[in-house]
Amino acid sequence: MSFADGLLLGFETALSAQNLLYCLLGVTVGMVVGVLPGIGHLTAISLLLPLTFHAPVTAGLVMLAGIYYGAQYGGSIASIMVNLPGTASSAVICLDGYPMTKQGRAGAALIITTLASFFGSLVAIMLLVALSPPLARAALSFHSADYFAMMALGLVAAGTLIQGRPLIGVASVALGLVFGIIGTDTSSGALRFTFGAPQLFDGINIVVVAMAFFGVSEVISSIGRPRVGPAVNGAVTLRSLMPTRADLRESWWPMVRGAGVGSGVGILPGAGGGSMAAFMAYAVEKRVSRTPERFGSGAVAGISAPEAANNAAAQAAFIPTLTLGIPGDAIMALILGALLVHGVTPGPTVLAEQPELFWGLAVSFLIGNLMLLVLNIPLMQVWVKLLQIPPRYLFPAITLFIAIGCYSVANAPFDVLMVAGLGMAAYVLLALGFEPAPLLLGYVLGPLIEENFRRAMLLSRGDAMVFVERPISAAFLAAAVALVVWVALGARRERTLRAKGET
Amino acid sequence: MKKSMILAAALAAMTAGHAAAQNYPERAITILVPFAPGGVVDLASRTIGEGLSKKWGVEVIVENRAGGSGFIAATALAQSAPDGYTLFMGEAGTMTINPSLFDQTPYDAEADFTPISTVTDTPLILVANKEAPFSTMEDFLAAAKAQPGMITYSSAGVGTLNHLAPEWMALEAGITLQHIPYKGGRPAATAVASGEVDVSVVSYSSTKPFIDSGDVVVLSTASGQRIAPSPETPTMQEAGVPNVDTSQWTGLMGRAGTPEPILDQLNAAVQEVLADPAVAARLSEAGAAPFPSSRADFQAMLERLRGQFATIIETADITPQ
Repeated sequence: MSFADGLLLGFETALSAQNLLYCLLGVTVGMVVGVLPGIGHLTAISLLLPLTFHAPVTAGLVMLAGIYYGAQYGGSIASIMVNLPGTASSAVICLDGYPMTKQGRAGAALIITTLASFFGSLVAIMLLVALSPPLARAALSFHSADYFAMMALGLVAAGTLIQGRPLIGVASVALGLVFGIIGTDTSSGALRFTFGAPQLFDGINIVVVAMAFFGVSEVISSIGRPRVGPAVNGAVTLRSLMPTRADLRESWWPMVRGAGVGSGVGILPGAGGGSMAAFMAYAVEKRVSRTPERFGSGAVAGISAPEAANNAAAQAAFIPTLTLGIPGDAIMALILGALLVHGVTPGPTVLAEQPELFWGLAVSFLIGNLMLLVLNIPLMQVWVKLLQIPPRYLFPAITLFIAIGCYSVANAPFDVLMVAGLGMAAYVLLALGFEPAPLLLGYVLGPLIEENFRRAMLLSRGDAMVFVERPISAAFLAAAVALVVWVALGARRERTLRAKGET
Repeated sequence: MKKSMILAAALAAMTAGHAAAQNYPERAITILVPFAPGGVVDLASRTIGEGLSKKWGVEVIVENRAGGSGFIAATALAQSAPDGYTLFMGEAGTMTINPSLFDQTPYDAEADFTPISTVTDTPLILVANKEAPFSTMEDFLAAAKAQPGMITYSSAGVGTLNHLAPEWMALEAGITLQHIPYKGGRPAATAVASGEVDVSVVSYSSTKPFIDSGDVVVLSTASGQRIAPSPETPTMQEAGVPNVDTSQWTGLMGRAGTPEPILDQLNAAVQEVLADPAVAARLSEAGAAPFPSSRADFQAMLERLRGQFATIIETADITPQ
């Protein structure tokens, strides 16, 4: 299929009434959960995941993706208005966004982040349609050893790139791997940790794990958290929304750099998706800026670059998920799960066999981003109001939806009990400092990496050299080793610095 | 609705005068599906469900109870009342392979189930990577004999039909192959196309893109007869591998002990649904064909396959543990 044919098919698919509706639903839900601190896009996606099982695969995916990038827009609103990140990836927006609000420039900040979001998405969408077809063709020659190496890099990255706490990140990944082991082993068919319960033969359902770690535990921990209302009620008028000419000029290059950083981080499996991209983009801006001292007190570049980056990462993350079947972050892991339920095995054949899925999705990103742009500017007041929904309505409703959602996956009451139990455990684990995102990634990638490792060994008749003999595999494993060394050196330097400071 | 009720009652009265069967069906029927939505077993269930619902004017609920190698859905059927209101969409795994594969199953495929009619059929073919040193069945068998255990094949997992079919072929042909399990039919087909494994016995529909692109060549079919989409391909039996005759089928099952008239009524209804050209068209999109059969033929097929798979599983020493 040629590029033009693909785009045409994409527009045809994405512009169908059904897909438009799902797209609108997705981006709206995304905006809402993005704005609301306490429930993130992961919660929303895991809640709506079972719903997509009853919709056509393209429509379902269009909606889930809409939630993802929609939340990237919404997340910054809470960061700017109340200094509380709506999603993890917009945490960095607080640093300069909230100071802008205190200076009475909330409106300008909101518009700049919206524009930056749109720009970042646009760059990554172009990258998606340009890179995916050749990557899928190349991936047809990837063997099990190569997949193993790519996933190994993903897991190492997911564990070690946790901000400043690589050890707990690695522990989280390891715990995820343990959850992933439960069920029937692909290679031998052996049952592991099922305790004779047929409900566990296929492992713990991804919806249950995701809802336990991102739904139930979030609700429990949000109950104890004090509520913060908007700092400046009613301060956002349409006139105050207009950024100054200087703001726009200052935003341009940070946006370009942010989109680049975001796209790069998004493509890398396990690099942490949006939040990692945002932090990296912020760091880059601070380094290249001629006035780094302005960061933290309302620098425009400090919001436009990370905002462009987290949106670019959200779109670019689809590249490895769709073409290789390797999810880059926890959200992509859920999307992968949704695809598998629909009988679509993500991988190099998806583009050839399901062209309407790939192109339809890519074009729907464009449409969804346009919708967000249109939704955002006139409705800014409404989004800000959303910050005032009382939790006594919000949390019971979420809990109910979690129960319904878990039950509906397989009509299994067992899964509801499971999410309750696992949710409690998740709350305790997160309170102890475990990270949910690497854990979910470990859970999803664990069985895949084991499967590919054992298959590679079976094919090479037990010769482990296969992992270094194949160039693709060797390159990814080398990158993984380099990453570990880099993080370990960084940690050691920090320790010596701290030790020096103390003496 | 009224008319169809009278019709149904008349049909039931005609076949035999069983009291419980007189008014069947008078309430919603549930078809249990051992897999998640999507895929041919689910499609077969929904197709039959819609057909029965239209014909009889009662609600037919398709209930996906995926998981546990089909144990969960099959156990639910085994615990239901033998009244024809709870049905089960069976396939090779739950009905013919699990009894031999597992030491213990929570249901008895023979004693708890009774066949109604087969529903769909998806042919299986033996394909080889284009770079493999053989492109005909004859060369393949010769190569396999020359180097026992060196030729690799991919499957959709341990104990799946695409694991047992090549083992059956190997047993009959006196060759040894190396099994490489994948997770699902699509990755198994991709593995032959990428050359990671040499051959695979997979459904025609999941390999079609690779046959069209020339990445794989078709060696033979596992069915007893040549298949419509590829009439020039010989069957395994024609190519000198005796007895092998298997495909991915689905079939409607009821709880053992269901009154005969109800079973006959259901069988007749399934035949009628499958005769609809629109149904055939819908199934063919998923690579399946309508596969109507009498209850006796279905029973005979189940017995033949159970015996065959028991032998294969024992000889090839396949265990889930």
